[in-house]
Amino acid sequence: MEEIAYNRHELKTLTVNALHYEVEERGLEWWQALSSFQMPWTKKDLPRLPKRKVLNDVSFEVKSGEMLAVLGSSGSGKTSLIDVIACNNDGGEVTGDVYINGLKRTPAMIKECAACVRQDDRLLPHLTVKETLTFVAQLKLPKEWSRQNVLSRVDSVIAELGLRHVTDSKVGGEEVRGISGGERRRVSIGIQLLLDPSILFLDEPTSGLDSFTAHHLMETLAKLSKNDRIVMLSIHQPRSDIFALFDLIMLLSQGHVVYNGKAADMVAYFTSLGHPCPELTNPCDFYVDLTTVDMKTIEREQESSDRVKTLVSTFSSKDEATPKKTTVKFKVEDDTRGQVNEAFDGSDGDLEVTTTNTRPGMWDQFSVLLRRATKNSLEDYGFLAVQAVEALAMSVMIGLVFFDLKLDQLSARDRFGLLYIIGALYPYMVILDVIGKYYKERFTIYFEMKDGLYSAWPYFWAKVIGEIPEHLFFILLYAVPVYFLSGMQLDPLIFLQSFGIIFLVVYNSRCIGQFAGALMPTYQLAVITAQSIFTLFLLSSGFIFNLENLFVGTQWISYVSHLKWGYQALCVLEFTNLNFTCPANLPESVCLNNGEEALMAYSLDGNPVWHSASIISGEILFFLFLYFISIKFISQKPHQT
Amino acid sequence: MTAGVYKLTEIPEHSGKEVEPPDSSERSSEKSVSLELTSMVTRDSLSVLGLTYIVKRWEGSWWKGCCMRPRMVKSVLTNVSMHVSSGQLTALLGNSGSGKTSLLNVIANRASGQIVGGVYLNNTLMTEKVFQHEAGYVMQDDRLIANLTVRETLTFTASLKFAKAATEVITERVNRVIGDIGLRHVADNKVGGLLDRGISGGERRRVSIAAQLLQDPKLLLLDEPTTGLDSCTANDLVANLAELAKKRGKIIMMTIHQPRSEIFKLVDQVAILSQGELVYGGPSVQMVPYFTDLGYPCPKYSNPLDDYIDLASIDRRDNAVEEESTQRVGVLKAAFVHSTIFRQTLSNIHQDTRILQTIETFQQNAAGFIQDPPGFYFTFQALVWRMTVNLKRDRSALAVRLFQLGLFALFMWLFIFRLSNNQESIQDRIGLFFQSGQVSAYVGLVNGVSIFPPIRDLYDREARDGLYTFLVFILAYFVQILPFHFVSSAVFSSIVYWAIGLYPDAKRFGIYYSVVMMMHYIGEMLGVIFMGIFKSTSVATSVTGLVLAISGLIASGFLVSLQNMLQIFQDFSWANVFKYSSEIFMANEFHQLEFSCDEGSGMFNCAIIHLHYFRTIIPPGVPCLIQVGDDYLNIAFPDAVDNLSVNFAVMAGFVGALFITTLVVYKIRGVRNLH
Repeated sequence: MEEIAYNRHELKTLTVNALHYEVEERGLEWWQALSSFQMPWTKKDLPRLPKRKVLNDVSFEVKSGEMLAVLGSSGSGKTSLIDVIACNNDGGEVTGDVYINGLKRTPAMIKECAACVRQDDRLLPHLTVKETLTFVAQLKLPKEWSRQNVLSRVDSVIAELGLRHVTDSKVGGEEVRGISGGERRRVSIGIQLLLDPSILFLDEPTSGLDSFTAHHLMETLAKLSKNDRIVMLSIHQPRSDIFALFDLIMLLSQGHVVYNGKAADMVAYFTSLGHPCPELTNPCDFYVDLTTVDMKTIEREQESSDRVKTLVSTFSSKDEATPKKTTVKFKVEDDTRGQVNEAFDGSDGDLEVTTTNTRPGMWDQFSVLLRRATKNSLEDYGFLAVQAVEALAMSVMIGLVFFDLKLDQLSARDRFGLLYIIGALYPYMVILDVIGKYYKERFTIYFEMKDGLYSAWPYFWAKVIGEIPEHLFFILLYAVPVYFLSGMQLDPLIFLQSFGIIFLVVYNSRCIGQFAGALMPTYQLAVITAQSIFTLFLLSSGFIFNLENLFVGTQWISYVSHLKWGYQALCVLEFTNLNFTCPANLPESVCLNNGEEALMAYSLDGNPVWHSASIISGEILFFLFLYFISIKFISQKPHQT
Repeated sequence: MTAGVYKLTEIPEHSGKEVEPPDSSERSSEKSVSLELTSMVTRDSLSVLGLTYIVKRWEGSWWKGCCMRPRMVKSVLTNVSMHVSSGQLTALLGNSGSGKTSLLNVIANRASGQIVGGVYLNNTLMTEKVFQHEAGYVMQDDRLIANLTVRETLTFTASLKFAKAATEVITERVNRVIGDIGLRHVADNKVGGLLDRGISGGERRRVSIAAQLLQDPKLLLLDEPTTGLDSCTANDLVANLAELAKKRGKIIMMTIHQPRSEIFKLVDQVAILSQGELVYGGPSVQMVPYFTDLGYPCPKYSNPLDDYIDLASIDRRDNAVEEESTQRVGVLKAAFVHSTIFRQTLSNIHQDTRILQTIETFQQNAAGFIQDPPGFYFTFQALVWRMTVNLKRDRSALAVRLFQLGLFALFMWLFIFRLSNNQESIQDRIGLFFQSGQVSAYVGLVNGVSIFPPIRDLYDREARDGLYTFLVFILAYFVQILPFHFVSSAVFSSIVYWAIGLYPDAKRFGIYYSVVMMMHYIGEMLGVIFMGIFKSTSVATSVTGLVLAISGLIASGFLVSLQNMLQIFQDFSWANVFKYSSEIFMANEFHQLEFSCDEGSGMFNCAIIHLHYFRTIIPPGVPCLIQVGDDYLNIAFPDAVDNLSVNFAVMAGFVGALFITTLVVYKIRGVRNLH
């Protein structure tokens, strides 16, 4: 069926034996506590929350070619079950065993043969379906593969998921129009299918889709499972015709198994227990309700929890009663487990080597990421246009306010004002844009890094280098009109140097924005952090307050303020060799006769331009370093709000 | 009288206007609605007759202009007729794009576009007024105030709806609705927002519904009430609605997205739409037989709603399937128009709307209605109360409002620490005043941005329901923020004035404080104005920020001298509030302030001199240019001291003018339709 036989999956059996899972209730994150004014010392008064049992004695077995659906109302442990098996659980205590083909599963094995599709789609909105899959394929598939092979693999995934008609349509997202929700979900699944896993986990694949689309998606998944894969999914409200597609069903209630077996036998099983399914009713709906504890009133809670308890115990006793060949098999294996695991450990190393060897290296990751980032931001021309208009509008406004400066005494001070505002206004706006843009990407980055598609280092360089051309373009729009409108020195050398300084100052502000974005968990906090740093630098830049009058305790801030160095460099460039006219009715001694005197009056003399430029460059490197450290060591996990 | 009686009544084919409707006496008596529920004995009906709804819009990107873009005319609804009676729960079904929500919007008079056909409540044409009086519309998103409890939320809405009613009556009504909708166990819990969890999603949805039930409407519309709820909660909600319809005799109509089989058993009427046309519309019990007759039986363990929605949707996966399904849907539509069920619907509509009641009669009948519009002062008070309670309980928003401005003052204090009186300190003072004007306005804007948008959205919703107008809303908001501005400006001014050390004089401090507060207030007003113009909060913020930055730049006289600017900026400098604020700041500080003359300040004289506009001739040989602050004022801000009170009055004028501008903007903006 597929053009390329890659990783032709051998038949797998996934066995779960007596799985228990406990989590500790976690309090608020530090920043949540901070924003709701929960002080650290009030925290210890809270009683330690008891551990909550999320999964209780769950055992089952699935074989290749079968589709297992985990059903249950919210809070029944569906998602946790899939997370635990797929090694995606966030803390918590797991007991019990999971085996793949009789071997105890390790995270490496899961990575090798399984893939997990998350509940929400995190796709870059401006790429087409084909581009989205191709870029991921280039990151995922072995690097020995030729470009031709990669492309044909992408094509076969597109065909398998029935996405041919939208191959060249934009994926889209919340703000951008693109393909429909069901198609987007299929692209997310396609990303996981690229490596052709033999086990596919899906968390609520149909949530948010309309019933028609949901049905088609499930048909696709059924087809995938028939193709010798294990498909395991959690589902919340399956339609009756979806129900007909499942091979196996596991019904969970508060972490306990209420039913586990063939989907076709479910109605008969519950009927034998005295709960027949009424006609014209979806059995899934009916039995999920039957096994849900109703918290509305105390009587109903009592009644329903009794019912659930009976059902759980009935099922587990039935499960015990039926002779389990799996249990027997494990008994045998238990004796040989030492050997088996040893044997596996031996092969583990090879496995690791093969995976890392075949995966694209740093340089390939970098070049793919760079191409993808460029493509995504170029396609987002709406946002680019807004930023360009913003830069141009600011430049023209400032240029008109300071239109055609003369060389009299009054214009000398206007020049200081002009240079200050050039260095302060745009960098301020840029910070907001940078942080906003970063928070749009953050979701994608987090999950892709977690999936091991690439590491922080190539991502960092792709991001830094990818943004330089667009930055250059905006600086051209910003610096050129204001320079010529206000009539600054028309010497090409001075212009180029001033341009370079503006470039560096604005770039430095971008780095502060990026650093704050990667450091802080939410957009608001990042903005506050970046703005605070910026305000400190702005106030100490030497225009608002005279540098010589600054309070000694805080004077050092002005030494590290890129705005101060930028302002100073621009002033030195503009004022050097500038002569001012002195009115006839004034003695020359009280006039500013030339630029040097003006610089001295503002305490801005003494530092040559290269000095300032190298300090700003050093600061850029410093903030880039902090940015890298933040990506590398701080979880980029996206948060709500 | 029940719907069954009507089914048996034979309607003559010719219109019988001379015939009195059989229940006219009963219908006129039901108008005397009091707080006691009378609707249990009345029979109401909603008729939708031959409704067609056409929208026109431009296709493609906006920058292609109006001429390049093709204009698309789309018929969202085509010839839809329905008849529903009280006590019935109706489900509107169909795939996305089938026109479910549009149908609700048309019934609620909230659709913009061309509408043919009519919607009638009993025998009155549904106008916006009639809808506001007699119906409620629960939209898809819950727009609730996070920090109020369920009871407070409902009491607030009730007190706006029945302003003239006594407190006990309102309490009683609120309690009954809370009981009806099953919220008793969370009645005193906070609704909750994103960070602090309050009540659950299903309960929030119930609060939204309860708010619409307070006026005891005859008709209740709900757009996707079960979206986002888990199946069990969704089921309970629909069961609750069905019970409500039966017990209180209401007409309830809802659209629904993924209907469960249990829901099918709860609804009395089902309408399946496909591309704006009815494929089925009638009693739910007749649906399965109807489709079975057409050759589409429903499998045994299957949800008939799912099955028939699929039957009525067009599958666009490939051309062959699309053509086949389009044909099938076409046949279904045609079959329904010729069915007995549809004919029955038409005759029911005919029966109920034979003699149309004029709006005037309706209003006369409704005169005794409890829902008198509340007085201006009452509404105003209620709104201020709600905004204040909400803000008071949101500790972080409250703290930001009170102390964010002060934080900036601390930053400045960090750098200056203590002002000296040397010649360089002139520059420090200028910088300080520049920042005082800019920062206080900017923080005002930021404060507004953080709390105003949800309140604005709520205003759109409630103004649609006819609860209050833009005038009360804007006035209440501006009054409510006032005390917070008093405090936050006081924190800022005290730090700047006393810690940094401006001219130590209580009266001058008062002047400084007033100007800071006015700028702070003006910043928030500007933000509110732009948030009325632009829908997107971030666009509004950037535009307002840019306007503040540029006008501060032009007019404050600190960064650029007015005399050197383009003529157009000079001509319009009077229209810029920063011109006045900076003149007051400067005159207030520099008048009679003495400056010292220490070593090395000679060079700074030169820095000062370029502030001149050479009106005065400075005697040669004077070591210090500025010995008293007035020397500087004479050069840079002549007449600032004399004009102090005039400038003050002008600033107050600005506040008033901006207030009027806000009202005009919101008047023009109207009420936006939100979902």
